[in-house]
Amino acid sequence: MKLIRLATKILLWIIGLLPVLFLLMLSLSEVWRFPDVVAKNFNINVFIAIVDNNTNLLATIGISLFISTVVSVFSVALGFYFSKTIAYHEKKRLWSFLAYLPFVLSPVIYAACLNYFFVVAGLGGTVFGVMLAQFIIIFPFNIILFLSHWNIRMQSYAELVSTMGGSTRQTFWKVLVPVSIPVLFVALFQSFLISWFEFGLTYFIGTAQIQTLTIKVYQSIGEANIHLAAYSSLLLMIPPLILLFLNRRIVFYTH
Amino acid sequence: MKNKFKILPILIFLTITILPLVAGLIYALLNSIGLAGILADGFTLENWRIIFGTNDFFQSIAYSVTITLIVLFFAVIFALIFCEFLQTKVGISKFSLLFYIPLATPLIVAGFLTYQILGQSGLFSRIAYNLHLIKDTSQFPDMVNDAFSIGIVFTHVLISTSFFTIHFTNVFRNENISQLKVLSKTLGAGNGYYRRKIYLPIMLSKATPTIILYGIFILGSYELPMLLGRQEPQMISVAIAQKFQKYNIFDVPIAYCMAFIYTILVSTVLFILYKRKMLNNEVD
Amino acid sequence: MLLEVKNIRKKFGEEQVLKDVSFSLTYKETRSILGKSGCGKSTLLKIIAGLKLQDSGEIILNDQNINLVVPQHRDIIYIYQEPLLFPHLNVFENIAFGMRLRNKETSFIQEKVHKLIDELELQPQTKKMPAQLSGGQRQRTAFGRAIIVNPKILLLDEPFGNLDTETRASMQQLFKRICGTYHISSLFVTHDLKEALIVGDNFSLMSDGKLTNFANKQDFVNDELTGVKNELLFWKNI
Repeated sequence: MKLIRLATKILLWIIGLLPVLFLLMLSLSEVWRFPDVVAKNFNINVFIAIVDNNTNLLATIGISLFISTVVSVFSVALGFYFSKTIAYHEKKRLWSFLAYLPFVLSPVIYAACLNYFFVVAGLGGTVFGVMLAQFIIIFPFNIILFLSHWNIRMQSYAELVSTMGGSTRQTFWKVLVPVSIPVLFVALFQSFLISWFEFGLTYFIGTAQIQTLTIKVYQSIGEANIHLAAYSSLLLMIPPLILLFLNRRIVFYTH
Repeated sequence: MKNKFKILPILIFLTITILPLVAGLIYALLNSIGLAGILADGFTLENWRIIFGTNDFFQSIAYSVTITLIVLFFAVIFALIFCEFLQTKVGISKFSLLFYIPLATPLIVAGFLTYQILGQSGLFSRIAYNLHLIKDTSQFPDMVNDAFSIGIVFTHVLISTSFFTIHFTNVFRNENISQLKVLSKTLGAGNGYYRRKIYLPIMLSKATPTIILYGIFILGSYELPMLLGRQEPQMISVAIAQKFQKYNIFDVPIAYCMAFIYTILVSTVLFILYKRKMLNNEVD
Repeated sequence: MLLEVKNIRKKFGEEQVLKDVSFSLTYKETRSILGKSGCGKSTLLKIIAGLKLQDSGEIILNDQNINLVVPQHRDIIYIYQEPLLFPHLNVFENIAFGMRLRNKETSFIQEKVHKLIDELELQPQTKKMPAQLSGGQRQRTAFGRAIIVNPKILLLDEPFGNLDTETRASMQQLFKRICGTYHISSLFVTHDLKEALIVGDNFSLMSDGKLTNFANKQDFVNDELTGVKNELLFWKNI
């Protein structure tokens, strides 16, 4: 019985990890012709590809990291700050509804509607333009995420500190921020993931010139280079997978 | 003075959140009626006549909604089963980590994987060939870019099931359903009664807003239908994006028209949720 | 007179929560306000602390009208029923918090906080985090955090409500002792009759938004509405 349970668990893990294993196989090989199930010509060229000027992978990783980091930090910081006022406002429900709007819309359709303004402002096809466009959808996500964090307890902390003579700034930095560190980390990672995984909006506003990893995957698919596509896919999945095993709550936060 | 400090953050929030949306919507509308854009030649309803006069757009919408409903149907059922399984048989164990892996997979990668695994020259086809189940790739079932959108549904169901399983697990815990189960058993209820009268009603009522919101995400998804979808009709995001990106500039005002209608539809659904106090787990 | 509260009125929606509430508080005095849940006690305290604005009425502190003074500058500290300790700070830092807000010197803070920790019998818990403390220890820490900055008035909103009977009794005695040592003026709100009598020097009864003040303990005991007589009768008939 124990053996069967162990075998079932191993089988389920293999099925669960099949996508990752499959991507690994394609990344490390150069040939996968039909009807081969297992690819041929395994080598470590893929690791060299990262510094190969032809693939431009290093720059792609750099741009993706830069965009995702900057967008997530700004979105979380401003979302945290502004959500406090919204959470305790008498029209909280209305603001919350408005925050949902840009977030639930299809990013590619939203980007298409905004594209004219980005072009006119000279932001189309620029890194800043992509960051701004992503910020416009990730900022409201953070507003929604933090709204439930600003509960009666947090309000009581703020009131307590004010009666103790603390200024608004002291209340914010000495109490509210330290107490909110766990949720800030969750928000930071969630925001990073949204930006890291973003494709349609990035493709539109970046006019395919801003090569993030998701664009790289898409372009590799278009060029029928499945090995580069697989490798780029693995690079995309590494940050969330690592953090998943460190702390699964960071990947998915519900309240 | 205090009121001024309250208004400023709200104004900034609205500027970042709503102003771009309103600006985009207004521009889309103006472009679609010939008052903005390269082809602006004065007021015209021609693009709207094309939209409402042909079936393409509404077929796209109907197709997108159908896919969404099918995905939600299967994903919710599977998730409810997995959730109960995890709670009662396994508990929250390392095994549950498996459910997080699909969520760590971006849609573009998921689409790529589905293509390479389910495609007619993909992994499963090769296994079938080597097992002599098929003699040729064309004999393998067409599951990507096919008429039934099997690839899209399969991939979305996989990811959605993970999402909902985790969400339902949280709901299960927050609503103390395990304790309610014990209580129901002490009152003489069997497993079937517990599932019909306690588990399902509580889970579905608490999760309905999330299910609807996730449905909106699926409706507007782009990567999977782009990689795995059929040519006609296309899911709405792909249909709109392709009209923008094709070289026929006369399609652009039509695309803006479609984008405008899509945005109004989604906003209406969201507004209904708002009116019914179903956003953010609101309680009266 | 340290504090005078005159004709405070407050409405929430259609409900008149406070109806012309008036009372006074002298130096080093504890006024017990007895009242059941939902009678407006907490609202009254929050208005005095400046956390809520009254619809009408005056609050006079040291002969100055403080209606428009923000909470930070009133020097009136509000203690919640729940200790509300800062979870990221240990006992020492929680108590020292108010001193750090005022940028006091480290040596001064060390001396004052350790002295207070001794008074509150919290020496073994000095480095512990709030999650490691019992209910009574948390409330003592919250108390120490409030009095270390020598507020003009302490507002206590059922501070011992969550404690068991024994801990509650010891906290009541501790409160009395600390108030005497540090010459604290306070408003103590409670729904517990015995507690009101133990901690208070003067007494009021809050009912349905109205406050009745009593000249002395005997008047409080004799009033039918306070419930003292019923309580005595109950124990007499057992």
